[in-house]
Amino acid sequence: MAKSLRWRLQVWHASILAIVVIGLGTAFYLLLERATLSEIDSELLLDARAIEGVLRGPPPRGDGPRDAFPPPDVSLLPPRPRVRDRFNFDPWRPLPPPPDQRFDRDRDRDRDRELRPLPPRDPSGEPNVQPYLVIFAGDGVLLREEPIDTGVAFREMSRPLEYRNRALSREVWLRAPRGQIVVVGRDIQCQMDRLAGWRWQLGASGLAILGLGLLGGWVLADRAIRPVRAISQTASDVSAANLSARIDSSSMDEELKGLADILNTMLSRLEASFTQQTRFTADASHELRTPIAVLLSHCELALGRTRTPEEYQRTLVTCQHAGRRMKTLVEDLLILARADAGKLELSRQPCDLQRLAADAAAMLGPLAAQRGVTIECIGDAAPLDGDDQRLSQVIVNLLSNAIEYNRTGGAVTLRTSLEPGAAMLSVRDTGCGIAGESVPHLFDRFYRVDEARSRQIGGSGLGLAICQSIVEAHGGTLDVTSEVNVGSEFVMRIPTGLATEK
Amino acid sequence: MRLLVVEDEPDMRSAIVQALGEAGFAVDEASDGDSGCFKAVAWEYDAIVLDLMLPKRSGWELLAELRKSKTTPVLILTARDAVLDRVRGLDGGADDYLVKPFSLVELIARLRALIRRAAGHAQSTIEIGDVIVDLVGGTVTKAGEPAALTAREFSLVELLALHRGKLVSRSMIYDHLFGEDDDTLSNLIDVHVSHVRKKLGADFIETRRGQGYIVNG
Repeated sequence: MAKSLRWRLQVWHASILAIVVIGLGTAFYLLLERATLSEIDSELLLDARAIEGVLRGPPPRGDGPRDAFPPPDVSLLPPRPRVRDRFNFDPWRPLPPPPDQRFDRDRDRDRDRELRPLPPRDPSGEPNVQPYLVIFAGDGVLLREEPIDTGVAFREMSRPLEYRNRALSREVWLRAPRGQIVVVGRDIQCQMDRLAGWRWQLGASGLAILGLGLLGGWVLADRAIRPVRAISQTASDVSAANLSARIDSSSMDEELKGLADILNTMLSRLEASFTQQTRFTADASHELRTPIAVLLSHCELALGRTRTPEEYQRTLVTCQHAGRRMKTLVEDLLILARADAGKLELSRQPCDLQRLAADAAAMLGPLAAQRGVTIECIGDAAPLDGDDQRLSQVIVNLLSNAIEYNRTGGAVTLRTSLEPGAAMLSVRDTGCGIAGESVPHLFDRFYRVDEARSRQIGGSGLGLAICQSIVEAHGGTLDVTSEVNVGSEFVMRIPTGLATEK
Repeated sequence: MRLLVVEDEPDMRSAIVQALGEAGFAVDEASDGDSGCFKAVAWEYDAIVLDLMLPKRSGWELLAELRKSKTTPVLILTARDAVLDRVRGLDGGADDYLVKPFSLVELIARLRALIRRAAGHAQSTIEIGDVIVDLVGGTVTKAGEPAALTAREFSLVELLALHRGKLVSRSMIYDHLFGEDDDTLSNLIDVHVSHVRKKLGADFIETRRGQGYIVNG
């Protein structure tokens, strides 16, 4: 289960979805909180600035009380009358005697640390939206408190403007021109409650989205896996005995279709290879059984009753013939098996295709004369490093084919030449030619263009396959061109530079 | 009994033909699918021995062509031993299948069985009065005593016995007893019949003048 692709997909999907949902929710909440607070802050700041504007009056005259609240300069009054409305703050009101609340660092140090309590909340639970106002003189003397008993303690400010949260209230601290500190604060329980509500809602909807996403992911993963399952199902149906099954890729998506097509191509190749192998085995067994059957039948027949010496002799000749046929076949099959295993041993030495061709022509001269076929050797020397015995085998094979399948009075031309990088030998005959549909199968094992005629001639159907194997072992090519009733030409090209490459 | 052997391998064919001839069959031979098909359709053979890998026309094609007109028993004799080949051969209308290499004795026994079954006899002996014809052993006994019949005479008795109660015409006897290479004159049949009558009793074979011969009982 842990190894299941579907599970892994699901886990990944769930993780990513959870991260996205949590991240998005958190970001949204933080933005919301900031927006709420900045709205409050700007409101508070506006009030604080208004107060500051009032405080920015002319300096106290004479030896008036230090830090006394100066009589306001009317011209400096804030444009907004709000300050007065909101804080019960009347700049024109005479300054009350400074309360005896001079800031005493020693006394207030501890108190500063633990802030004095906020004004009592309305027991009805209604949030108190009315802002409060506190003004301190630069040295901490409490100048003014609106409404009374806000409990805000003086503290040093590090920056000209500071915001801070205190329990359920928000305050803005502003340093006024003459060192006074203006504190405007208000209760923000209402907003905080609303934000708490948002937290819950965001959490709930996040969970819901996560759940839905997981469900969808499960379904999607299932759908994505289904074609893979179909592919594996088909693949498991395929066996050596039945390679004909194919994956139906018609309804698949692009990527899986590619995979399915690749698998199908592979299956086709496998099937072709298996079919070829099966046919080869069947053919080989057929070719081997036939001479064995001949041998056994003739022996059985001869032993069935007393025969004349002539009859025994005939039987022995037949058996010898069958035995030779088996020997040839087994040798041919062995060469092919070695070639297939890449173990066709070549004893390379310098040799010349022209000389090999001449030797082959001389060897097959009697056969050619018997068939009324003339052999002509033309061309130049074609030296190369190769196994002369194997190459000679190829040439003899090609030449005897050219003679056997020639017409009476026909001709065979052996042409050799040295091409750039390769020695070339061509065997051209004036025979019946090979039909176009047979040409691709010429080098197939046990393929015979004309079954009856090949039997008559005694070919095993392996000759050209062996030729090709030998030529390929030399790194060369063997090609054929043919025209019906005109003749065929087999062209062998073998690279000359193989020995130096080693 | 007259047989056709269709086999392209000359050495194989000669062995089969000789063995069947020595077993008392009249044998025709064909070396390729076309001539085999022609002969198989043209003549009334008692059985056909058919190779599958034939030049010009394969054994399967020959069989399909033959089955359009005739029910002659066919024994496929081939080096192809794959199960699929056997199934294809038998489904294609063959009656038996023998894989090379084979024993000639087995081939002959199977052919006898095929001919017997085609004539509607499941057993290998036929009793006619006090005469017992042993189709497998190729012997005839009269009243418990073995009768010394030649191969031809036995073939004649076998043919008549297999068709007992039915009229067998002279041309039919001729067709079944003599191969295409026999130059025997048709009146030789009368000689064989008289020899058989001498050995098995004058009333064993009844003559229907102008029609042929019949074995009753």
